[in-house]
Amino acid sequence: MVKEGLLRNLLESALDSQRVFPREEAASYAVDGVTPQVVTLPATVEEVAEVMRIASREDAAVIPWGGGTAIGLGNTPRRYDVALCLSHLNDVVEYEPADVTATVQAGKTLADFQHHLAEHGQFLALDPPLGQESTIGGILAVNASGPSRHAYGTARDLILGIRAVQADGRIIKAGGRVVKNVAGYDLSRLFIGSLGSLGIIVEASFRLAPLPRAERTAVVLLPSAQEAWRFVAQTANLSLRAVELLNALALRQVATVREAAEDGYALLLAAAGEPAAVERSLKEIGELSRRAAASLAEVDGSAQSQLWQAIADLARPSPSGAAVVCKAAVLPSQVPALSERIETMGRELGLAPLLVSHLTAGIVYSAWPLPQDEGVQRALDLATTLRQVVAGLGGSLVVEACPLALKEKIDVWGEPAGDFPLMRRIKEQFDPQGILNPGRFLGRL
Amino acid sequence: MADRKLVSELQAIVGRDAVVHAPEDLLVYEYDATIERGIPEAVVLPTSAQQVSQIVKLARRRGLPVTARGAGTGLSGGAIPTAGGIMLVTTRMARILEIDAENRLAVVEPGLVNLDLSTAVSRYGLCYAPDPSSQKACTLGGNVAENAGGPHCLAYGVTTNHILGLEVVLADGQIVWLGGKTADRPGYDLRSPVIGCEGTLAIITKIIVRLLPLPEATITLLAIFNEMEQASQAVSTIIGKGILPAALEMLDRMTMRAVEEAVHAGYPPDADAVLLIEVEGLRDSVGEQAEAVRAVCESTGAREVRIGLTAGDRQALWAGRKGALGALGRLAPSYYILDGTVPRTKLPQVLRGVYQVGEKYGFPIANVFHAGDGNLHPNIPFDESQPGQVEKVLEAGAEIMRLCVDAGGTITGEHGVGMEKRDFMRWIFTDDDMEAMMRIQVAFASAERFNPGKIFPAAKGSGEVASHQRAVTQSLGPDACI
Repeated sequence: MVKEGLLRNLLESALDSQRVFPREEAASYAVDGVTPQVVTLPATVEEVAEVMRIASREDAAVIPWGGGTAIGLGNTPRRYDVALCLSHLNDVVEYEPADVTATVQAGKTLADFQHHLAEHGQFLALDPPLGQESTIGGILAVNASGPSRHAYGTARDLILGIRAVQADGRIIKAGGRVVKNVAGYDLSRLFIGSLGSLGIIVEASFRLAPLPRAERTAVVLLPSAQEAWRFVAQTANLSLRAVELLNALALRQVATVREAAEDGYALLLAAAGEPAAVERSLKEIGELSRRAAASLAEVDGSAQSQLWQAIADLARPSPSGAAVVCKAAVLPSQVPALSERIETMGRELGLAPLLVSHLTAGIVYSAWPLPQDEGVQRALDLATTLRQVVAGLGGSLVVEACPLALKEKIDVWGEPAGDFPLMRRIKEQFDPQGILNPGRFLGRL
Repeated sequence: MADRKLVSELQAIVGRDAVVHAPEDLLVYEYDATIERGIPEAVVLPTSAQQVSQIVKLARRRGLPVTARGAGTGLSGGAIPTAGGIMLVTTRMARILEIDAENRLAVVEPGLVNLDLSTAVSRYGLCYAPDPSSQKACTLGGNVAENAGGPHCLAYGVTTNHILGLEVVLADGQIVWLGGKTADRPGYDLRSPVIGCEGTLAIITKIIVRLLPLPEATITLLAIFNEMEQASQAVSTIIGKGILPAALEMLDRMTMRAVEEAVHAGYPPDADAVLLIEVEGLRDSVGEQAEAVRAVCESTGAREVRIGLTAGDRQALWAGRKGALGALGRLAPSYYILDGTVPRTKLPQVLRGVYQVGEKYGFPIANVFHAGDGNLHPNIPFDESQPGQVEKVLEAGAEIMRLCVDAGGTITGEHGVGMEKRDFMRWIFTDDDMEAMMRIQVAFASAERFNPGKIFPAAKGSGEVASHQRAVTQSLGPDACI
């Protein structure tokens, strides 16, 4: 345990004291019920480095914060002294629209960044949950993605380079700002999805995309997930931005469509791109729906963007903490079977899970409502059973949100595999003291 | 040359016919597509990950480094065994183990030739997107090790964007999977640092690749310009307008002249540059996109735009691009290929600088490159037999690399750092940056074991000299180059 007063004094002498808050004000920066001693709000990359130099010298554990939208992801922190909040690092460092690339600081919210890019008809092709509040750094730390990954991939497909502050306070960069670059080891992609446990990303350069000239959304209601998969298999060549599979419960949550189904599944297809390609895609979706005798609705205008944000937000961890949210990754062709297995599990457990899948990526989110005061047993049963089912399919299951009591019983990331010793050595190399997000990553690294 | 005991121990692992050790036979493996040279003590051609593991363990016991090699088409000396040791050639591990058309992935061995994969999956309406110009010869293991690019990477990304998982042998002989068939696997993404590690972290024994559906329609355009500046302007305008072609390649006057003499591609002798542009997608929209590209080219001053709609017409338009390096090879006994990337908007400025460097050193410079990505490949034809020429070419090359870096770019877009560019790493990375990268090597415990002498600068004052590179028209033919 680090002496609170000492740590605060040190940080205050390094940073403007306006940007160091004591424990009394730190309650809103608690992680899994653990409250930090100090909250810091550095305003420059150099100040982030200074905080880390002090933390490293004092052996103080640091949890980096972005918008806090995914802060509950991970195991319970082993220790937690300093909340390092990056929200003041929110500049666009460089943006040359004709290069279709941009460099931005980690504390910028995705929404602000998109707003900036939209003035030039461009965007960063990431649409994770809660884009209004989530920051670039946070999105990279958890490798957050959304429905658009069907067309654009994930942050690892869009990143060009990063700047990061290491555990000892040294500032490093990896990659660059140009679209093709193979100089040196690829640290950028390694840092993406590492939950800030190897270093703190303070700046990132991205490949951008032109905003599609047209977009239309089709909602196709189908009796089973299997039929949805067969439907999608016939759309390979279409100009689709997103292919989402929702169960009836999920559809009802986002439904702006009139015929929200009683049961069955809804396939939500966003056609985007050149107007003629969008037109043709919708026409084919119409024909496929007729052939499948499926009901088809179209959403456009402002309802369309609201619908897609609502779908992206379906996968967000519940703020109440009373639900279990699981992210399963399997082969795309296994999504139907897994979906139906989950519905069956729900019936057996007397719970109604909400299901939303990035179908072509094989990602299945299930959100399970649980009564606030319920014990841990049912949550444990469902996480354990689901993990076995997914493991049997060769996939992985992350418990993205759950009651704290469950975190005490499981590793939310799952069982480490054969590559884990290598991961441990990577962690030891980058954070030998174990001060960055300690205990929170896979295998409690 | 190997001692007899090493040879017999290797033979015990892979069999007699899979070990090369006679000095005259080893010469075949001393080069790649550069003129770097290095002779291994023995060359071994395993057929399985288990054999690779045993070879690595044997090398470890004997304190010998292991250098992996695919087809030897690399352009940065990545497969040159600078410190001797064992060369591990993957060409007998060339099977396609699985094609899962439904999930659009394939599991392959590292020795499989790039184009053979695309050919094999085409019957399912799929393709493997990264297409280095050496794709008829280069292996996927080599592609992964170098994070290879190619003309169509403009729209689809480079190798790292298409690799789902790797089975590798670590420096202690352990076989592990990094990544896998399913997405977003928990834990660190160890696949990414291995992709592009130039064989220094692990030996790749299986690769899971992502496949893409073949486009429904493709149109190729060839735009001819009187001024290089106009062509560069067209590139920025096309990209800036939000048109994303599948490929956007440029050939300059010197390249065109060489091409005309060699393959008669129909380029006017007085033109300064041509752009080769390909648009892909649904048949309903490619026509419109092609029109938009044509309009940009004409508005920026193209004197002629040719359009290829059929496979035959498109091939004819590509003929000049594909034959470019062969044609350049006829100009002088040797040539030196550079590889740097700059922000696309800096292309005109950097190209001007490249020609100025040529004038300064008295070399003609031919440019044929991936303009849409800002990935330059200046080629310097020269005569190696003239005293002092090699040094002069290297100096000119270094100045051109410096131009790329000063414009906000990098020292390699797709060929790798390898041997000759090690000392340029300091232009773009600090000691702290490189130390962070070395931590990966420490975690993999692979330093001095796998492909030593690559990527990172030689320690200051160690007396090591980066040697030089020259693309040679080897048996693979000149197109096996960029």
